[in-house]
Amino acid sequence: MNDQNEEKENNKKTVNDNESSFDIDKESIVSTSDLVIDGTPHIEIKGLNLRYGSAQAIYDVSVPIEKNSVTAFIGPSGCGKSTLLRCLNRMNDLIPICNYDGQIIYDGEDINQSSTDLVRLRRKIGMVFQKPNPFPKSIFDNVAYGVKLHYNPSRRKMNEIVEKSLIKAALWEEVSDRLHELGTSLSGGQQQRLCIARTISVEPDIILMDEPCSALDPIATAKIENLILELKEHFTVVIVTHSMSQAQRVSDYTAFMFLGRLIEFGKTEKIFDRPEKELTERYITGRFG
Amino acid sequence: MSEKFSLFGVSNLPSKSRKRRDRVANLGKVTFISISLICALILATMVTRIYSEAYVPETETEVIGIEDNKEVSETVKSWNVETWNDDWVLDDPKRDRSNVTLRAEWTEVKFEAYNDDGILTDSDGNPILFDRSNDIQRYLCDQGLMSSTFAPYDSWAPSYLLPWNERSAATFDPLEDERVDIFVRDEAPTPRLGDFWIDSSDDYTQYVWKGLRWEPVVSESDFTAAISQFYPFVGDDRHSVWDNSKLWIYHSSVEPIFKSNGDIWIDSDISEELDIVHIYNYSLWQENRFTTGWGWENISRSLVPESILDPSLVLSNMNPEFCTRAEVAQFILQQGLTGSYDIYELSNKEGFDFRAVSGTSKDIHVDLSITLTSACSQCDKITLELTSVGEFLRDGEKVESIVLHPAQVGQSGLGVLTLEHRMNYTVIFSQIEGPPSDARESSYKEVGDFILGPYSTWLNSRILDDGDQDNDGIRDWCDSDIDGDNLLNPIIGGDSQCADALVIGYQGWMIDENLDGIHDQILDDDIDNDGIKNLVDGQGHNVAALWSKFSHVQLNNSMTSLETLSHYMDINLKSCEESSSSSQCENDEAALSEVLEIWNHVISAENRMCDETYKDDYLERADEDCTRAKEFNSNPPTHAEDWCYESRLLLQPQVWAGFCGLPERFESGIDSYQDFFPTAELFAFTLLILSALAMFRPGYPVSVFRRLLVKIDDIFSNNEQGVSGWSYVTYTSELIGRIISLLFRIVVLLIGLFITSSTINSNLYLIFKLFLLTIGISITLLSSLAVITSFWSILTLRPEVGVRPSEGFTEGASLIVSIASYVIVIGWVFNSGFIIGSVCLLMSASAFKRLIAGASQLTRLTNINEDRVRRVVMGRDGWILVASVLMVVAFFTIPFEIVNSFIFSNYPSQQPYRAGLRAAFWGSVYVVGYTMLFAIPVSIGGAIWLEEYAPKNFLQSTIQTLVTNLAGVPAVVFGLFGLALCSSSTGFGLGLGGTILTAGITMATMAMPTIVIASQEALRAVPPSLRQGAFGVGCTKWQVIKDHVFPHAMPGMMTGTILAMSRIMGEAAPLILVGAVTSVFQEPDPLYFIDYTALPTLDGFITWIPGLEVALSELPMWADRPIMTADPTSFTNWGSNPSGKYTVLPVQVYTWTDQPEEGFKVAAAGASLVLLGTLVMVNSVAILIRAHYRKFSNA
Repeated sequence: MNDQNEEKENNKKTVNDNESSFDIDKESIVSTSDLVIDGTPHIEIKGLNLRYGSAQAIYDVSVPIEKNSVTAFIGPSGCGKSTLLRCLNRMNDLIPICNYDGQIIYDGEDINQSSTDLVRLRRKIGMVFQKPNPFPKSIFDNVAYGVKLHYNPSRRKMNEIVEKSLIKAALWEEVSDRLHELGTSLSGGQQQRLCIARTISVEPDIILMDEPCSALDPIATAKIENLILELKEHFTVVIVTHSMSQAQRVSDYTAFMFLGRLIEFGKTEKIFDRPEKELTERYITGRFG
Repeated sequence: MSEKFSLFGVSNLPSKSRKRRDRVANLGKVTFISISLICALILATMVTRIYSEAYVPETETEVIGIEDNKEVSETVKSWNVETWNDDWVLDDPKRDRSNVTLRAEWTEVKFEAYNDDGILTDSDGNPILFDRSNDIQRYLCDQGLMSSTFAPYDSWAPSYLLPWNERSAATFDPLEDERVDIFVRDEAPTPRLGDFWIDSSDDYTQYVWKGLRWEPVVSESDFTAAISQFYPFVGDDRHSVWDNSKLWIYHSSVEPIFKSNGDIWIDSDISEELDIVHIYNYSLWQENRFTTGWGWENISRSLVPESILDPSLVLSNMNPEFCTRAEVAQFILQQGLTGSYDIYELSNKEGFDFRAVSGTSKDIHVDLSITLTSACSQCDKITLELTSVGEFLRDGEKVESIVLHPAQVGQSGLGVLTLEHRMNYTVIFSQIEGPPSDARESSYKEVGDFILGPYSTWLNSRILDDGDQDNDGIRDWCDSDIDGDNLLNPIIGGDSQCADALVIGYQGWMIDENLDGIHDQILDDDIDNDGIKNLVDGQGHNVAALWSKFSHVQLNNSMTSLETLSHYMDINLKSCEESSSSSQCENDEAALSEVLEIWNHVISAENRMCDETYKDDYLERADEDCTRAKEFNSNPPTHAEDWCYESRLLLQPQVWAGFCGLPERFESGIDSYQDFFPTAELFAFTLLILSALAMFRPGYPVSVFRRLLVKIDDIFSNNEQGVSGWSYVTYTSELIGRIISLLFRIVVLLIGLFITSSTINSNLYLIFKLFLLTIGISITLLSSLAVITSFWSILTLRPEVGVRPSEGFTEGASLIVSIASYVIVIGWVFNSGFIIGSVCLLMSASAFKRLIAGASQLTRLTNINEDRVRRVVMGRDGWILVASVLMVVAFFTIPFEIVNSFIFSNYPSQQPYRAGLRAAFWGSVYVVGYTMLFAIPVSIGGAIWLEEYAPKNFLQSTIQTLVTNLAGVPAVVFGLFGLALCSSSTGFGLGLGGTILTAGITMATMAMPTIVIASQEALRAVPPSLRQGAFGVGCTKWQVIKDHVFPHAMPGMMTGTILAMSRIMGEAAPLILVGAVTSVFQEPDPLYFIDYTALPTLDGFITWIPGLEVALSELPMWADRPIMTADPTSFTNWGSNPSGKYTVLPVQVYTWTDQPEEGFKVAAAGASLVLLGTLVMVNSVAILIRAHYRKFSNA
């Protein structure tokens, strides 16, 4: 609760400061020379604009995301980072008034096309939500559901996949003896890990995480963070977080967004140690005005 | 996609192609549209089919009436009925609907009376023939030729009954009752005592009614002429104005309020010397013209006959006689008098006997034999004898040949030919061969009355609700000669049948002591067989009363009956010799002869009870009875009451009821249980409560023993640290417990096998059969598992294996307690009324729930482990299995009789206790069934379309508004809609007529808005996170809806459905508009529009495959196979309703509430109860579905 209150206060300050001292368009990144990553981008956002009806939420944002790394989107509330994340597997399509342009290059193709196979896209780019949302099915079925949706595994193979997924999600030891209880009967942290297991069970390339720890206690958060670091070996992870320290701990790259614009992008150490923009510095130091 | 490292091996799996996925998605999108289309298609098919002729029977049957105009003594009268009995499925009704052929031949019987002087003849010397023996009695009685007539005894004074008599005047309303009726009729009216009759057909002779017959009044005054002048008449034609008039004569001091022309008012305030009585005059005939006016005219008192002025003068000299005791009793009852009245028998005139004659005249004895000729060898062959006088009449005309619809035979009501016939019949059935199955019982029918159907129907129609048809003092319930024709009834009429009837009805410590087939405590209103109702009578004969008839001898209580008897005989002889009074002596002789008769009974009791045949009949108590009888004879009780009590115990009901009378409590019928403290009942009831408690907590009473055992165990095991070890006690108790449990499970297994095997071979309704089979098979499966585990547990039990203290004992004892309690409960169910049975039913229902729970545990195949099996089998089987058995027993035995007759057997009737719900119940079920069929898929599909798929545009909002508003439209409007669209054949109407289908469609339109709105609410309530998660793993929209949204919304949808179904179930108004009628005497036919004859049979299918028939015919069982057909009439009653009419429960309730009889109020209440019950049944399906899906919404 305290965190949230602080966030709200921060937000207000930002707006006030913004009016007095910053020109947000000048602060935002425009040149691609700033968007440098070590390897080739696994998925790349290019010049994305997004509107909810007439209100623009994202202004011309471009972000490259490196493979097998963790990229964190940070920024105050309402800056558009969750919206940007949802663009990556086009979950925004579910909102009727939402429209967007720009490119998102994945696997050499622009996924912002009407011909894109959304089912395959969402299989390849899985998502974990802010609030744990396991299906009201058994734990086993929760994990197996996605696999069944896309493949026809044998029974034995299915058991194997479920077990491995749960092991990978660091949940197996806690639930192995009650696989047929309802997934919703688990604790919050376990539920979130179950959702992660559900997501990784179909072997996606990229996992999107929308503030996965915001509803969890510190111990569960620590477990999830460790999990993210493990998942990095196999998956590309994009995470939206409000916690500066979490971004510092888990991410390789950090993108700081403000009012729908990408302010700064770079290696996490660089962003947190030597931010180029004053806005960034003020945000990460928690001053913001 | 390039092949790459696969974490789980998922990527190596073959992926479902997009094409296939899209196809599935599209399939899902169109599924609901398809369902709607299919419904529409079905409707269209029905509409086309409806135009084809609905259900025409293949053959029509013919009844050839009685041939007439021949010498009857040489004529064998006969008629044939070819009919089709749907209860008797012995042949394929499709191929030969007239599988029962009845042929009747008979001779008619007349009775004639004779005595020693010869046959009773009329004035011309011809023998007088009578239809019934009752008629002979009546005739003889009227002619004064009866050997005996009856009259009230001693204190009888008929004049006391006259209304103006001082003794009873206070109880009568002066304005209403102080009057005498004067009938001016050409036929004798139905009289009251003292009524005056002027026979207009016979020169205006005057009669007065004296209780038994009209006696001519000899009067000097010309009364007829005197009052006739106050009538207008035309010319001399006095007859026309005198016809059928009824005058009242009032004896009153106030002017009568109700008066009409010619009424006479004798004012008691006016002195007799004034010689004036008043006569009411409306149209005055004076001076050869009419003068209209009104008022009381005065006429001379001398013109009025004495018998009118003071009827008591005439009547006090009268000695009324009646032909039977019952008539006396009836007369007394009619006067509304209670108290004690003796009835004595008057012997006079020459006695006539009577006998049946045949072949002596034109209307003659006929033996009716009905033979069932049927193609199959298993058919029953039934011979019937029918005695008949009379002829068939229809609408008053004689009928010689009638064309009957086969399904109409045995029915009466709308669109059905009703046959009236004047035949006194007796039909004796005897089954010569054939299976002793239900077929025989259901085939009992009285051909003369055209009653077809099962035995219970016959019983209901003939027996249950009539009192005493033939007026012979015996209730029809077990009157062996119900129509008074001196021949035994069909079917009923033997003691055996009566015994059955009583078993169905009541059982108590005393059933039927006077052997009239009527339960003494509850039904018998004439317990001592004297033809007088108990409350009126109170007299009968009784020994003490007999003794008192010896007028000059004092009763000595110290003597035994035997001594008293001999003593009196001596005294009587002496006194008669000495006495001068001969009449006194005659009385004593008569009394003595009765006492002797009693004594003969006493003697015969010993002979009878010690006889070998008695031992054969009553093996259990023969010895005891014999001893008792011997002691009774050797040492008779002194006092008359004791004597009577003992004789009752000795089962000499004739003696007891005939001469002892019955204890006062039976006569009053009020305090019948007073003398008996219900020790046994109280004990049993306490036991029942305790066992019920034990049923729910079997471990509870056992725990005390268990603690005790643990203590003993500690002593034996010498265990100092308190660690549980092994001891002999523990081991033995464990072993015993397990063995008992094994035995018990074997018993249960046998029961399960028995239920299963007997169900397979039974002829129950399909639904019952399935129900029983399910129970039987599940019991068998569960208990066989239980036996195996139990056996294994005994094998593996070793003394050295540490068992927990007294575990086995607890389990075994629990089982024993369970068994004991269930045995008690089952016994109670069998022996008691259905109230306790229903309690048991409730209890067993909860136990049945456990059966389902246990079974469902077993059905979960995944991850089944030994622990679960053990829990299911060991922990619950004892409960579950016995409970299910009990449930079957309770379910079928207790309410079945009531439910069966009221709900499933009886159609509506004018008599409330014959009325039933058969038509209405099935009507409601079918209507709701059709409604669910049409409404649920369309509504839920529509709701999903509106919420999930429809674009938010003008069309969607319009539909939304319409649906919302439709939910508030009054039901009658929907009825009008149904009338216009479905029922009517003009305009847009589909022309379905007033059938079940119309009702279903109408009700579906009414139910749809409610379901749609509720479903939409439920869909909106699905949390968005669930959708997001589903989309996140790559679901298509249809998969999201199918797998997540729909299950989550299902409880809400079901709630809406339940509400809608409850509403339509109780709705009467729209159905009245679309054709629900108030009286239906057939089960509704839900598939009325289908031509059953066009449906295929199995035989047809077999011949279609080459060679199959030949191959099958070699199988031994093939010859005896039942003929299988797709025709639903072969296993339902659907085909029996050719009119398509239907009714529903609320309409039936409404109809009955409208009836004036009290009984219909009860029937309406019962019907409401059935309505609620049906509602619960229908909704429980929805509730079950809701419960199943509830876990999704609670998540």
